[in-house]
Amino acid sequence: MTISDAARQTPFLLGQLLDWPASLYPDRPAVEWEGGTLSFRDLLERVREQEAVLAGFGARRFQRWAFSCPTSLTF
Amino acid sequence: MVSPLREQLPARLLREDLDGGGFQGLIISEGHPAYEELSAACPVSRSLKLAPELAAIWLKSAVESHPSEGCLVDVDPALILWSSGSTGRPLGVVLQHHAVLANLWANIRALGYRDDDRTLLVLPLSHAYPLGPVNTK
Repeated sequence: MTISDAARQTPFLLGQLLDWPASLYPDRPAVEWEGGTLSFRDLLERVREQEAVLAGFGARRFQRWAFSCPTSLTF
Repeated sequence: MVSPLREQLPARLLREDLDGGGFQGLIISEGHPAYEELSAACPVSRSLKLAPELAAIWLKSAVESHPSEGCLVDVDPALILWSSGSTGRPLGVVLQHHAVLANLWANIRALGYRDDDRTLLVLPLSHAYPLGPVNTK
């Protein structure tokens, strides 16, 4: 791996954090809870789905969005 | 930019934080005591089923929203976390992408995290501390 390859893979935005483990070890569990588990690949897929739903709703970068919900997988 | 609000915030304080923080939208659990009031009172009252237990609400019209042109860079704001309020009202602390990631790298280095470690999460996700272990994973 060249330095430029490594630099390209280093996340510099919060939203890129999941890309890295999802490409390195997609089948490993990312989140486990009582009664279930989700792999990095599936978690990333879920994030992309939610991203599309929010984008369809009109959410865009540079906007401010607040969350008020219990600790959960969806959070 | 996103801001996790405290889960059990009463409706009045939730409104104050939302107004003061200049938020365009809110993602809220439908069981939240303020959900009905907020979704009825918002300028754009459209709500959206985001997940089985969550709804998304526009708090301001698209006209009032910030422009969305351009790319995000690491010095753009990423998060607003709320202080504890031990000396007054909680204050919103704006964190840039690079600040959150610097915290992540510091956690990895100081605590010796490995990529097969498992972290038990017991604090609410709106609290600042869980962000380190969650992001490090």
